Amino acid sequence: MNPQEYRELIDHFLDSILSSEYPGLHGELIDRLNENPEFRFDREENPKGTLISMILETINILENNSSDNYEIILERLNSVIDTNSGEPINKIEIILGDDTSDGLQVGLDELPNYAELISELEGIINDINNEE
Amino acid sequence: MGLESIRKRITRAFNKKLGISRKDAKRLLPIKDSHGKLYEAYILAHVCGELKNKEGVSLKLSKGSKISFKQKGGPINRKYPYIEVIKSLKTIGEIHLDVEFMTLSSMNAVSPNERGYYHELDIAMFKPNLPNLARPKHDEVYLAIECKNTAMKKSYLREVLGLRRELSFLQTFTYSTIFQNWPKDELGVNPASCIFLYCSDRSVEKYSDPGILHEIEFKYMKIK
Repeated sequence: MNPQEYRELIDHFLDSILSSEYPGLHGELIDRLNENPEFRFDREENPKGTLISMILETINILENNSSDNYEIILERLNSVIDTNSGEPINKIEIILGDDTSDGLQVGLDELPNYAELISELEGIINDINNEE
Repeated sequence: MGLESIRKRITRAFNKKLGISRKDAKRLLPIKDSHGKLYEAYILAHVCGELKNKEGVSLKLSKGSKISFKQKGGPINRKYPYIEVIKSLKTIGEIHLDVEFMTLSSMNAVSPNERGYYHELDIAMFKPNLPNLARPKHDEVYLAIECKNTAMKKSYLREVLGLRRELSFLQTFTYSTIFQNWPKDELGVNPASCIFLYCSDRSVEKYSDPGILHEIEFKYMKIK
């Protein structure tokens, strides 16, 4: 693919995130790109590298937000924290509402799981890398 | 492959649903910080690991088998479990989540319960056995951790510098912390409280220099 085609893919990638169901992802990605000079939109010099960097940063954001990490975190907590009963910690939750009231409790395992999207994005990077 | 093939693959990837029902999405919508809590849980596990492995403490959940984060911070609430930090059979501290502390500024305040006189900490280790529904005083904070699962912003630097200002005075001499190894055994602030800013954006490390003077650790850490 030629540089102009990579530039088109950069625009398409950002448009696709913007119109997707993933709340805040577009803004978060733009913030990170602006904060890290190496990710700035160097469309003229290295559009292919810029596209790959953008996708990698998107994966980074999704990995830190995906509930498929829940079991890993639970396992790590159990490896260092004991309980009175000797039973393992079995839930990580967030109490909604006022701390002093009996707020609604939601398990962090109920948050969205982005593993499938992350895998798909990794596949797209492979496709790009295989391009001449 | 080629342009059209990759374009279609990008379109397909982001057209997929979130993997949760619309009902659940609506229910989870008010949890503005829910993703941040997953990151906080990861940092909690990391910090507990450091305390256990490097400081040689043991850690015990005060009751039950759940870790409870809160959407809104507040005073110590012993209705929820906390983590006892034990060394040589003695409880040397308690780790609480989303709890507010009373600032240095509040010490001489006429109305210390005004909102400006207390601040929330994501993860904190306090002096043990403080009363229920109390906000720990600045000198009862041993370890204060802020977690940012977002792009690093300069305002976060100002935030932790303000946190240091409300916890301790800078000193020309060093003062002992309650720790012997990790995070640090002495600091150039009094009271000698340890502060960390963990961020999932690698650019956090570009802001770390002011932390040398103010005894604040800036750490890039991502899940996994």
